[in-house]
Amino acid sequence: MTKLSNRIGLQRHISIFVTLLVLMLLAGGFFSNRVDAAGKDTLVVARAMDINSLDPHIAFCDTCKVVIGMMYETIVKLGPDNKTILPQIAKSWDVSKDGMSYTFYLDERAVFADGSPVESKDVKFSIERWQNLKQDSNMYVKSISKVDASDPRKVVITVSSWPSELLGQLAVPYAGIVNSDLAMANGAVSSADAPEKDKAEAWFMKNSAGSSPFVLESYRPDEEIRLKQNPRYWGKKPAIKRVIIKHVPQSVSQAQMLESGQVDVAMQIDADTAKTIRSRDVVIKSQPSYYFNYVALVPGATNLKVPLTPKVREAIALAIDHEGMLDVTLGGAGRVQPSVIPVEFPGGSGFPTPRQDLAKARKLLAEAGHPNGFEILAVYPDLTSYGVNYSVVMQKVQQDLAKIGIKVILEPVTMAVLRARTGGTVPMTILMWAADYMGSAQYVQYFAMVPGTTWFYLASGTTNDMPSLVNHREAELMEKLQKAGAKEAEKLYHEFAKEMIKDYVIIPIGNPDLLLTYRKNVQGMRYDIITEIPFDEISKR
Amino acid sequence: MILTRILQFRSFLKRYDHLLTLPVIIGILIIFFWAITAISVDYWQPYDPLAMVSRRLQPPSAKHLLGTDALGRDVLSRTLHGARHSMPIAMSVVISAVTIGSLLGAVAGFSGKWLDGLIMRLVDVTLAFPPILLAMAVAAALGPGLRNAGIAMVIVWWPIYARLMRAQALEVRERDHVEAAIASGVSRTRLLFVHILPLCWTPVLINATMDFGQAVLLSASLSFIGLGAKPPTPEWGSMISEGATFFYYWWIALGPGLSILMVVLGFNFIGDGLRDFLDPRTTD
Amino acid sequence: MLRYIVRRLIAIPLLIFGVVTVCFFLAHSIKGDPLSSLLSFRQLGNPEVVAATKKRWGLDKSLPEQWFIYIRNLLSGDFGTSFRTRRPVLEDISDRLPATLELAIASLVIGSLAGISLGMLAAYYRNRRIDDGARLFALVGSSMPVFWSGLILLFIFSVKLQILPGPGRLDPVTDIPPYVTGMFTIDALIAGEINKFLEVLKHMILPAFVMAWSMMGIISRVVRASMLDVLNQEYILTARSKGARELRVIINHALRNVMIPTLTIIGFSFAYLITGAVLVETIFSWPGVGYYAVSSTRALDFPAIIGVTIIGATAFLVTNLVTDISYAFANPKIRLG
Repeated sequence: MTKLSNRIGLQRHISIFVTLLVLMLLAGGFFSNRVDAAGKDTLVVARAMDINSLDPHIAFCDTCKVVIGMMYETIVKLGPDNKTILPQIAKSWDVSKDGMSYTFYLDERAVFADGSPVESKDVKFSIERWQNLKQDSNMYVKSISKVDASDPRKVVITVSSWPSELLGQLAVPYAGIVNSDLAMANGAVSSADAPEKDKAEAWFMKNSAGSSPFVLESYRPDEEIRLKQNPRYWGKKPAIKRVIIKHVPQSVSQAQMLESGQVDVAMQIDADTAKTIRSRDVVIKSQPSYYFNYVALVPGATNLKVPLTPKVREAIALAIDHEGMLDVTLGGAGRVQPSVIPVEFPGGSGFPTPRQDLAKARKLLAEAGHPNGFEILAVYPDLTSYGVNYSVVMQKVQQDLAKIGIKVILEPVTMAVLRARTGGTVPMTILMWAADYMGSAQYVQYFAMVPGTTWFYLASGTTNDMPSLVNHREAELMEKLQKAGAKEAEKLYHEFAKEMIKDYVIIPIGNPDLLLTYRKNVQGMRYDIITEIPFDEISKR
Repeated sequence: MILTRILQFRSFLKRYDHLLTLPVIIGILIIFFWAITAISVDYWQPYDPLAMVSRRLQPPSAKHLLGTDALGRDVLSRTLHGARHSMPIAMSVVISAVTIGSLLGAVAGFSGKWLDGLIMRLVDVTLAFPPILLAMAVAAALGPGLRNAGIAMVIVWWPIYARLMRAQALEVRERDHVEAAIASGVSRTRLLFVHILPLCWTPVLINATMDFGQAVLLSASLSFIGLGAKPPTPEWGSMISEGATFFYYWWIALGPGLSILMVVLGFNFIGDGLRDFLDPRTTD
Repeated sequence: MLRYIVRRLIAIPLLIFGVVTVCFFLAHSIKGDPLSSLLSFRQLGNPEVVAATKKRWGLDKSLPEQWFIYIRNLLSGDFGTSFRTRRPVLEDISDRLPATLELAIASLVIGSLAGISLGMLAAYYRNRRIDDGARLFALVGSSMPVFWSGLILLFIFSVKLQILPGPGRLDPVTDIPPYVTGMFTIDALIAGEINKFLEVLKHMILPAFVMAWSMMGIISRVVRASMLDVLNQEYILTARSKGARELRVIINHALRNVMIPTLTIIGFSFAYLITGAVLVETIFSWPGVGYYAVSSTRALDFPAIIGVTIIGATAFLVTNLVTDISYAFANPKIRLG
C-alpha cells in the first residue's frame, strides 16, 4: 500500500514539474512562430549565399553581384529597362570618333561614405587594381589599355579591342570604385605586383569603401550579411535604412520564413515550392530571367568511350526532350532556349525552338558508326541553381539519351571538385550562365569554339589544342566584330549564335522563369540583371 | 533415437531461450525481411525504381503507396531497392573492418615489441580523428561513390576492433593452455589462429552486430552530405537528401527514413540480445 | 596513475602532429590542385590569372615546402586563410565554436537528463510496460538518422504546426547579443535581454532535441543497468524496509551510485555529439563548426578542413583522456596502460 502511494508520489512530482514548465513557456508567448519581420526601415531577405569575397575586385559569384552592387557604385549604371546605360559616378561621357577612347566627367557631388570626394585618382586606382589583381572577373577589364587621371574631375579610358561593350562592362559591380586613400591605408595595391603585395582582402571582408547608398555593417559567413544606409550618401537616399540578407540554403525554408513573415523577400524559391505557398500576404511574380542552364559536351575529354564527333554531338542534342525537361526541372515555369545568346540580347532572337527528334538522332548515331549507342560519363555539380536541381536534370538527360541507346553514367560532385577535374576527365556536364551585363560579347568570349575562349579551353580537354573543334566561321566573325558598329554587330552576333548552335558543344536546356516572391507590403520590386533586386528603390508600407 | 534427438533439440532451445527474447526475434525478422527484399525485389517490385512511371511529386495513393518523387519515380519501389545498397555496404564494411582490425590487433597483442608499437600508434592516430570528419575527408579525397564511402568507413572502423582484439589477446595469452602450447613448441601462426583467436571472439561479435546498424547509419550520412551513392541509385541516404530539397513533399523522405530506422533498430535488438546472452555481466 | 596521465598528455601533441600531417597530404592528394577552389571556370585556363593566384596564395611552392610553412605558421597560431570565406581560419572557427558548444551543451543536458530519467524509470519499473516503452523510445532515438528525424520534426513543428522557428540561431531580424562568450543564450542573459534569451532557446529546441535523442539510448542503458545493480543492494532494501519514501531512496542512495558510470558514458558519447553536430547543423543551417566542416569539405577548402580537424581532434583526444581517467578512478580494478 505504501509502495503504491509512493509511486503515485513520484509520478505526481514529475507531472507537476512538466505542467509548470509548459505553463511558464506558454505564458511567455513562447510557442508562437508568427513574427512581424521588422519595422518599415529594415528589409529582411532570405537567400542561399555563395559569397567568395567582398573585395569588389576579387569577388566573383551570384551573391557577390548583389551585395557588391549595393556597397559600391560604378562609373555608369544599367537602367531599369536592363538595356540603357545611365550615368552614376560619371554624369556624362564622350566617345572618340574611332571608338577607342572614352572620356568620363565625374559628378562633383559624388562623395565616399567617409565624406571625401570621388576623384579621378580613385577611378584610376580601382580599375588598375581590378586589372592587376588578375582575379575571376578579369575578362571585363582586359580591353582597357590605359586610364588617364590627370584632371581630378575627368577620366580618359583608352581601350584596345572590343570597344562596343566597354560601358556595359564598367557597369558590372566588380568595376566598383573604391576610396583609394582608405583602401591603400588598409593594404590595397594597384600596381603590377598586386597579386603578391595586396593584403587588403581581409579588410574588405569587414569594411566597405564605396560611395553607394549602403555600407557594410557586418558579415558572418554562412549566416548573414547586414548593410546599413550610408548617412552621407550624395544621391537620393533610399527608403530602406537597413538590409539584412540571411543565408537560408533551402528553397523550402525560404518559403516558410516568407509565409510566416520572418523575411520580407525570398530570392530563390523554386517553382515547385512556390506552388505550396498558401499565404495571402505573399506576392509571387513570375518573369523571364536572363540565366540558363546548359549541358556541355567535352570532345577533348581523355576518358571517352567513343569520340564525340559533330554527328554524335548532334544526335545527343536531338535526343533531349526540352519541353519535358522544363516540366521536370521547373514545373513548367520556364522557356526553351534555342541558342546560348538569349532572346533579349543582341542577335539572340529569331531561332526555331529545338525539338526532340529521336529518329534523326538514331540515324545520326548509326551514320557515326554507333547504331547500338555507347556509354558516356557525366560529371556534374550536385547543386540546386535557381530552383533547378542538377541531379534531377541529369537523371532526365540520362533517361532521354537511353532512348537512343546512349548510357549516361552519372557522377555528382561539388563545384570545387568539378573544377579540379576539368583537366579532361569530364566528358559531359551541366552548368549555369547568368549575364553580367547587357551585351552579347560575353557569350562569344565564353562559348565560341575559337582558341582563347573559356569553353574552347574546357571542351578541348584544357589543352587549347584541338584543330577539329575550331569553328573557322566563328573565328572570322570574331575578327569582323572587332571593327563592327552596334547595328552591324547585332547581325554578326545573330550569325554567331547560329554557328554556336551548330557546334553542339553547349546545349541550352531551359531558361528558368525568375520568381519574385515577397510580402505584400514591399513596394518597388523588379528584376535587375545585375543586382537582381534594386534595393535602393524599395520601400515598405 | 528420435526421442534423444528431440530431447537434444529441446535442450538446445533451452540453452538459447535467454537469447531468443521478443526484441531479438523482432530484430531477426526485420533483418530477414530486408535481406530477402534485397535478394528478390526485382521479381516483385511494384515499379521499375529508375523509370518515370507517373506524374511527379504525387502524394501517396493506392497506386503509389509512398507517392512519387521529383522525377515521377515510385518511392516505394526505390525504398525497397535501397536495401540492395545499404545492406551489402554495411555488411562488407563491418566484415572488412572486423577482419583487418582483429588480425592486426591479435598480431599486435600476441607479438608485442615493435610491431605492437607500430600498429597501436597507427590505431592511435586514426582514433584521434572524430570519425565523421575522417570519413568525410577520405570520401572527399577518393571522390564520391558507395565503394569509396565504404573504404572511408573501413578506415574509420578497423582501429576499434584492433584495440578490442589486442586487449583480448593480451588476456588470453596469459592463460594456461596457451602457455602450454607455447612450451610445446607450436608454430606462431598456429598458436595465433588455433589457440588465441577463437577465444577472443565474444566481444568482437557483440560489437560487430551493433556496428552493422552504425554502418548503415554512417553510409546513409555520407550519402546525405553528397559523399556516398551516385544518382540514380536509390540509396536511402541520398533519397532523404533529395527529400530534403523538396521537404514540403514529405513522402519522398518518409520511406527511406523508416527503412533505416527499421534496419538499425533490428541490428540493435539483436546486438542487445547477444550481449545480454554472451556477456551476462551487464544484465540484471 | 600520474605517470599514465603524463604519458597520455605528452602523446596528445604528437597525435595532433600526426593528424595534421595525414590531413595535409590527404587534402593535397585530391586530383587537380587547390586552384579549383579559388578560381572559376572562366579563369582556370588563363595562365596569367592562374600564376597570379598561385603567387597570392603561396601555391607556387613545392608540397613539402608548403607543408613546412604550414606547420611553422601553425606553431605561431596561424591556421591560414580559408579559401572559401577568405577570412583567417582561426577567426572562422572561433566564431563558430560557441554556436556548436552551445548546441552540444544543450543536447548533452537534455540527453543526459532524459537518458537518466528513462534509465531510472526503466529500472524502477523493470520488465513492465514502462520499462519496455522507455527502452524502446531511447533505442529508436539512437537508431534513427539524425538528419531524417531533424527533417521530420522541422516539417511537423515548424512548417505544419508553426510553433517552433525554422533553421538558424535567431530570427532573421534579431540583432546578435553583444559578444561576451559567443554563446547567444549566455550573452543574452548577460545583456539582460530575456526575450532574446527565450528566442535563442526556441531556436535550439529542435536541433538540441534531435541530437539528444540520438544519445539517450546509450545513456539510459547504462543508467538502467547500474540502477538495477544498486536497487538490489542490501542497504537500499534496508532503507526501503525502514519505510523511507521511495523517491528519497532513489535520490539519496541510488542516484549517487549511478552517477559515475553515467558520467563516463556521457564522456564516451562525445563522438556522437561531433557526428550529430555535422549532420544536425547541416539540416538546421546552424552556423557552427559542423556546418563549417561540411561546407569546407564541399569547397575543397584545405586550410579550413585541416583547421577544423585539428580542433576536432584536440577536443576529441582531451575528452577521451578525461573519460579514461575518470573511468579509472571509478573502477580501480581497471588497469591503465
